[in-house]
Amino acid sequence: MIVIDVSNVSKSFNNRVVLRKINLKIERGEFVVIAGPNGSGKSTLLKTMVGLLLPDEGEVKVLGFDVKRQWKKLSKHIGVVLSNERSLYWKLTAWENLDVFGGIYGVPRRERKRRAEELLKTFGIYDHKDKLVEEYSTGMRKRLLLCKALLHDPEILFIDELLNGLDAKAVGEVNTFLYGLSKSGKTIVMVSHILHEMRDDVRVLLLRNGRIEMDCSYDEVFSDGEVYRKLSELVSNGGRS
Amino acid sequence: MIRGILMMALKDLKIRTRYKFIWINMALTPFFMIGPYVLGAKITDQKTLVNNVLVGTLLWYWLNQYFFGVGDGFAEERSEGTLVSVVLSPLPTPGFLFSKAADTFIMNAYLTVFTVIFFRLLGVDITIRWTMVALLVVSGVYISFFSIFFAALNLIYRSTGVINYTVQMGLGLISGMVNPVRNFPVYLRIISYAIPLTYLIEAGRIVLNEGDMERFFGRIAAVSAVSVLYLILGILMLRKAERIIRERGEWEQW
Repeated sequence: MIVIDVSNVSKSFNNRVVLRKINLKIERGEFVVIAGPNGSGKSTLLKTMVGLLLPDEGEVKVLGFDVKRQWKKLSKHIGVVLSNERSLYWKLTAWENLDVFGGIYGVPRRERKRRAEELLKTFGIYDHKDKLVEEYSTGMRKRLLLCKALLHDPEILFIDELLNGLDAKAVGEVNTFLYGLSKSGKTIVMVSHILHEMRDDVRVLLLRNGRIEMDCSYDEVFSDGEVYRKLSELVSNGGRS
Repeated sequence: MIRGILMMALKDLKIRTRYKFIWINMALTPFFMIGPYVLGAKITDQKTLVNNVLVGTLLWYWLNQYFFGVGDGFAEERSEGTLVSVVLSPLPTPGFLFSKAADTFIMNAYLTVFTVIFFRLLGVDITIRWTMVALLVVSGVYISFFSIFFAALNLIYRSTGVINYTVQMGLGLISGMVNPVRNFPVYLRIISYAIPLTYLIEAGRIVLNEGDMERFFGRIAAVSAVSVLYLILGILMLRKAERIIRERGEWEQW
């Protein structure tokens, strides 16, 4: 079942074309990594999918919602992890942050308490739940960003450059968790140029100059020398560790 | 949406509890700001004049707080870094501004209690009437509507935020904060009656000076009409601003 349908999407900023007639279909339960060099249009594509940005041309449908018009209705069904650590309230504790965002997303009090506890334990920060976010390390904040995005049990999780700044162990842990989520039926769309520790059936989309240059599985990337060479050229930090 | 509004308002209050000095500042600053006007009027020993100045300056201070709290609500959330998170949530932008209005109302109630206490300690005779309390609640609602209009202006033309304080001062003067509007030249009076604060100050003066309640309700009816108009305009402008910002991809700059 197709949950994300991007058709003929183009976007320019100040006469600079960032996305060129992008066509993309993503099925339920897929784990998609959007990679590419800086300025290739990765984050712009993600922002058009969540409604933060309106395309100049084309249509984006997510879970059947027209993102252009129905982005607020859609927001209850998706989770978005932003790259900015400051997208949390630093003067509140982790627990208070989840309580606030859970409330805004309409999660009933008892349910958000249960979900918050479960997620904080999963990401190993439950013991720090009463600390102010300003006292957290970057890694802890990123984990909390994931908790925040998952609190309302979204069907699709959009992630923008979450892995930057995490050590190799944490990257592996986050990827394993996300992979597990996708196996349970959640769709994951992650913008990243860190491609370590991915599973073989993760779908890798490579963007360059606003076009999808490659669309293959992680396994194919490494079994085909030509594809791997191209990927290495295009993405900094590319390759299997 | 109501739950979202309450959660956001509670969030603001919670964050404020982490900054203890804000509470001292909020208790003292309004008194220092409006004290010179009120105590200046007290020199004349005319209770009506003191009442007129007190209610005018106090309601003007309320407007100041709403302009900072609601009118600058987007900028405040942006400086926190959380604006995009809020924008991406199911809470509509007017709902977000209503949460700022609820928070500002609580803060205004807090500062009013202290301001009244300080004036009474200095011998200013203030009689607390329930009609005045009700008027403050109504003022909170209607000044919020006006501030939502200003917030929408700020969202479209970001530079208007820079002149926020100048606008507040100008609005205070034109609304008859000290000198009643009836003493203004006709052209200025036309502008005055386009500002909700003018009607609220007049209504407040009627209550404090035990004036004609028919006139009071006339002022309330007028401020209701003007404020609802600002709310409608504000919401339409917010929609327009949202579309422009989404087209330009500027939410993160905000």
